Amino acid sequence: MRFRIPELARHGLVLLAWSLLGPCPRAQAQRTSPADSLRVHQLITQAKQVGSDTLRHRQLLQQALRLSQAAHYDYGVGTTYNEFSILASTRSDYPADSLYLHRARQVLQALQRRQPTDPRVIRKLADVDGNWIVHLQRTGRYATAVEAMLAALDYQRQHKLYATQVITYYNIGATLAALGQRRQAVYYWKEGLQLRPQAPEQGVLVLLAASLASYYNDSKELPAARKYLELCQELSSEEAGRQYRFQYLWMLGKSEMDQGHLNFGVKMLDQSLSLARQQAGVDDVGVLLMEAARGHMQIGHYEQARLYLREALTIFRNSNMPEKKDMYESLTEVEEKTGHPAQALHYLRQLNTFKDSLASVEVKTQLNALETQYQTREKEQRIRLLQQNHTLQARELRRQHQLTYGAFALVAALLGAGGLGYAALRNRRQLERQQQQLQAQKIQELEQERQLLATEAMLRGQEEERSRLARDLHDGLGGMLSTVKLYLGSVRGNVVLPEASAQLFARSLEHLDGSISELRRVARDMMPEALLQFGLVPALRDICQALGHREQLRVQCQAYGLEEQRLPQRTEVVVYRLIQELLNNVLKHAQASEVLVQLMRDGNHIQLVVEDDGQGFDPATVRGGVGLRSIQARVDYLRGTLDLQTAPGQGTTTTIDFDVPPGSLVEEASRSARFTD
Amino acid sequence: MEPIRVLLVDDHRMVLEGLRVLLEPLEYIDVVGSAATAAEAFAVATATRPHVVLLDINLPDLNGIDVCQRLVAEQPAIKIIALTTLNERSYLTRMLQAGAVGYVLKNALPEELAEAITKVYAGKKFFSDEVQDLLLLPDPATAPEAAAPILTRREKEVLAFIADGLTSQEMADRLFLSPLTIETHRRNLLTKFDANNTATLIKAAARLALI
Repeated sequence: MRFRIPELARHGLVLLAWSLLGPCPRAQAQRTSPADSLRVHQLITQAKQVGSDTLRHRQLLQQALRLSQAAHYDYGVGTTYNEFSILASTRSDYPADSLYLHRARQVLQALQRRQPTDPRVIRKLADVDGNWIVHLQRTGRYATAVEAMLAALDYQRQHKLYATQVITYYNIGATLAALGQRRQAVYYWKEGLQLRPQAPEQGVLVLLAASLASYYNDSKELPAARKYLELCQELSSEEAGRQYRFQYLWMLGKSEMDQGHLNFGVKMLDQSLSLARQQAGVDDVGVLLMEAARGHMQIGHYEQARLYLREALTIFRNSNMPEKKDMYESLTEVEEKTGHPAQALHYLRQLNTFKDSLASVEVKTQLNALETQYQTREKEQRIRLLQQNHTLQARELRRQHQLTYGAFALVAALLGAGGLGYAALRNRRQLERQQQQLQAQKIQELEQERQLLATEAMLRGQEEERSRLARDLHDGLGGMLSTVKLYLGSVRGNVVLPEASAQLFARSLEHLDGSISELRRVARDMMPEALLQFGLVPALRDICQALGHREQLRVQCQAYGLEEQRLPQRTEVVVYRLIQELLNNVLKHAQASEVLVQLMRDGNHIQLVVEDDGQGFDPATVRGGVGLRSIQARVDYLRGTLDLQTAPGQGTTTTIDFDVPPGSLVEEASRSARFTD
Repeated sequence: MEPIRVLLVDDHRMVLEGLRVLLEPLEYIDVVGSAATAAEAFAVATATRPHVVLLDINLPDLNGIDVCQRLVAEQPAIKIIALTTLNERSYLTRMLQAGAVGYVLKNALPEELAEAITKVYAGKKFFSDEVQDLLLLPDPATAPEAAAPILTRREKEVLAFIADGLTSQEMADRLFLSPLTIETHRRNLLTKFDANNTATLIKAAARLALI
């Protein structure tokens, strides 16, 4: 099972380390009594210590904010907002995070203008900057984040904020790593570690060491990896680094597992997890749960993996990170393995829903492929079962043969059995190969079927929507505009207007007229009423007439064999759209003076030809344009073939051939009785 | 003189109201009723015996063309004017076939409407200007039957080869097509010239000077 550990989530979380620089309670505030400011910082410190009780955390911060505001203690206000943002960030509430950071910065910048040299304010602003970077990163704006970080780094160097610098180095590295530039990341991480003498109390050093160890571990430079892992251990044993002890254990667990010490590695991950539950943010715990679940799956502890994954799912229930897909996939597998097929199906559905929520055509295509894979897997299993049966039978047969031969002669029997065994083996191999081919064929068929169904559903939805819109436009808006025109027209006769106004009035009426015609044209293009009511041939004539009427173009239409019988309505709409798009292409690109649209039915076979005498084009250069692709999609829907004959200067002939299912043709008479519903 | 009794049928109340406001001040017109559905229209028409009906083609329950047909069948003297936003020949011809004597677009001015009502009442026909344009255009529906059928480039080639006596296989070789495709073209040609076999096809094509 593939299971990516989201680098970004891992690093992103740790960035909350900004908060751990903590306030400076000893600092004094202007215009504020030391008692008040002290109380504010006590509240903040207290708030941080409540840990996972976010409600209590919030209450304490609110108290701190009220107190600071009442005492006009701006530094306290800024600090509290910053704390609020951290709380919001832990809860993945990014809009709130952004708002609080914005407020914190406003207050602190105003304060800095009044006290430009106050080191506390300088440091706090750096913190806010840092948290903003975290925010940018967690909301996916990496490039902006890196820019902001490099700027922040200058600011920190200038003010000798070593501890903060360490964090910035770490963050730059983490962001670069997330963007796949891990070699550059290593540079920044090493720079950060070199600040250890200046900032020995900085716990983030653990993370730097862990990240470097991870890098070298992945690039198989094991001595370097071991060196940094040892450093990580050392740092995380110190007082300042203890809060990141879980990161060390995490790293250790991973590296042990990579070296094949699965059981020990999983044990370390479990330990890391229990520490993280006390020390880390929920996101961190979530990612760790995923990692640990992967470990447990590897050693066959599906029950434990299942618990972890479910917990991780609860944590990320509102998240849209792509790793969720893996989570659902793993859950599906684990539920299956632990004998909960219903749950497995549930997660498979969730997986699909989740992917639906990422609603882009591309994602949907992938989803379809995945669904096919799933169905194929089912088929595979069935095939495997059949194969097993077959093998059993073959074995049985062979045994009987052997017995028969045995009755004749022992030596001959032995030889015969050997020969027969060989033959059976070869036979089985061949059978397997056939099965495989059959299977591949089945997969392909399924895949095609799925794609067709998806296209069909999309086209149907599109047409229904268009039909509704067109009718609304035509009847609703069109009717109203016409009524307005009626009213205005009657006003004209009754009132004597000054010359200038009369002209304006007349022009308004003209414009209104133009609007009505335009609306009609739009509605007709969208879904011609005539198509639904009278069928393809009259609608085709309407469209050709309208075009011939409007452009410097002679449009000729002819239809054979469709006077008495109509195609199924959905097919009619698709063919109509094809004609529309092909004519559109002619109008836009061909510079033709004549175009022929020809529709022929011969039994169940339909052929559509659109031919112009325009400038043509080189199919090699134009192939795959949007227009052509949508034409191809519609032809696929009809399960037909598309043939394009063209060359520069030689006009273009598009021929589309398809069959309609026998018996699907509708007698014109029976349809016209129905079209009024 | 007795005023012209007019019935209004449109599924939009706003349109009905607008028409009524415009037509009522005219002393020679008497709006005797209005209906928003086909069912209502039948009932009101039976009750009020109007001279002229302004009929919208899009009705929620029944198609305007069918409504027209039935009203004319029930009251042969009734004059029906289609009042619609649909400026398409397919609708126009079908409404006329159903017995309508006027076709007015909804963006008509009041005087045009009034003129339409008086004209059809007097036994004439009336069409909005734009609709008249539509009538003047050649009808593509009758074109192919009247003149020579229009051939695609490929069909022209195939026709020429047929005239030269080539077999489908020979044509396929020359045109780099499959014999099956050639057969399709051949069948299409037969259909277009309404011919049963190659001989009649050649004859018809020769008569039309296409070969």
